[in-house]
Amino acid sequence: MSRSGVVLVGGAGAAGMAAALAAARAGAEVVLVEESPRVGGTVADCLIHTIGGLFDDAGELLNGGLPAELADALRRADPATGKRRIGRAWVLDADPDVYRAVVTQWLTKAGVRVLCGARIVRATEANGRVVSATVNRAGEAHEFPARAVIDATGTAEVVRLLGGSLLQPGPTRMAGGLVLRLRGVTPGALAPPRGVAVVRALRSAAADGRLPVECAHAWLDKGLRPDEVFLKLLVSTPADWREREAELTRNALAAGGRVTDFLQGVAGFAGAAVFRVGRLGVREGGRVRGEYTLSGDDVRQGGRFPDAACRCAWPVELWDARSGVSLDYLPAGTWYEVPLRALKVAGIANLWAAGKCLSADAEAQASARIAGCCWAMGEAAGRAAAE
Amino acid sequence: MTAAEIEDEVRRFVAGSFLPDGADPPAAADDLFAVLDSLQVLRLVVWVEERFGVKVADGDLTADNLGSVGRVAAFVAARTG
Repeated sequence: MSRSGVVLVGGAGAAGMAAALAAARAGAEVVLVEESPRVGGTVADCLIHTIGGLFDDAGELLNGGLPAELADALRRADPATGKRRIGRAWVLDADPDVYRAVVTQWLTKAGVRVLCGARIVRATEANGRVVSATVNRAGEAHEFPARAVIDATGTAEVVRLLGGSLLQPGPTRMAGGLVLRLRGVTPGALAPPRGVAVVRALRSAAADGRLPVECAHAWLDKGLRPDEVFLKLLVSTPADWREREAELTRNALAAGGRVTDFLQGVAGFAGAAVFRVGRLGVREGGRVRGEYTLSGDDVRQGGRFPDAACRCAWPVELWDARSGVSLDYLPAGTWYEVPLRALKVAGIANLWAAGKCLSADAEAQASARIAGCCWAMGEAAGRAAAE
Repeated sequence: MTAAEIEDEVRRFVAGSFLPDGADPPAAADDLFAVLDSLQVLRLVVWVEERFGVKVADGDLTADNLGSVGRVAAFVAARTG
């Protein structure tokens, strides 16, 4: 395999940052390309304050390496970081701003070349390999000879440049999310029993038309500070969501404003104000066709593979804008492996995909797409790409 | 339905819906608010309303009525008895 060229990673979210760090630590020259102005991806931009996928159902770390380092670094950076059980799954509560600061520092230290506000716009294939890729940034095109390319864009934006046949068929069906981080809430306002009335008030307002129907399944959760609450709204992502992202975001923001106004009339929320608004989060927007396609059965039955890249135990978490979230937990004590072949795009020797756009069916993706698993997948893909 | 039967059903619902497989079901006096968040307590309330045909008003959302499996059962028994 050619040792010349760079490992080019598309998307600086959980999977992309992990891939870039792993490849750089393995000695490769790495270029990380991110469309938005900053690194951090869904966790930092969409305001995910509960990092799932790091732990099994007993609360033990599933993977060593970068996911374990991340949990450790977040704890050291902020004493408010902590492990918590939600339902039957464990998450790491962490401040999205702290997360961004920690990972930004890691990338710098590892010598990863980060290009923000940039996109991979062309990939050139010859003899079953990606030989080069073009990155557009601020109107300028930069061409990089490719040692390997890793698509960690979440929606397979790089792989789709090489043709739709490299993608799994089937429409996107998962609802997206918009998170508002509120401050100025009376401490404990969300804790039962008081919080039950808050959640119920929201539900009934959505049921009788005082709030948009999507608010019926809004998720409210305590934040990192005593006066903080995270409000997550469900957003329908239609098939043409790419073209309509601005409109969908605008509508979701309007709904968020109405919910916030409504909450200000509820006990404990009189002083609540929006501190931050997340970017529209897309849970599923395209999966690649890999050498192996991880299935819902693999997930539920705790599949094991000789080429295991990492472990995951997250429930199959399906979001629907009308009916809300459904969580299908794996049997007690079960975890499954993601094989490296599910991160390897079929038919192209040096093209990988990690994170939300891995090679999986819709059910398996609904489990494996979780941030902690994306870190582990990204690390495995980055290491493999640098070999 | 006796209070003991109601309590048993509530316990099974809480364990089956919110607790890990294999975890001990909650004892009658265990503090539910220590293990359930508000969304989960609301799911419990909605279930209680549907299953037992009782109305849980906002004023009823208290630790005295909902704070443990035993208290939920007593609340339901008082409304249905």
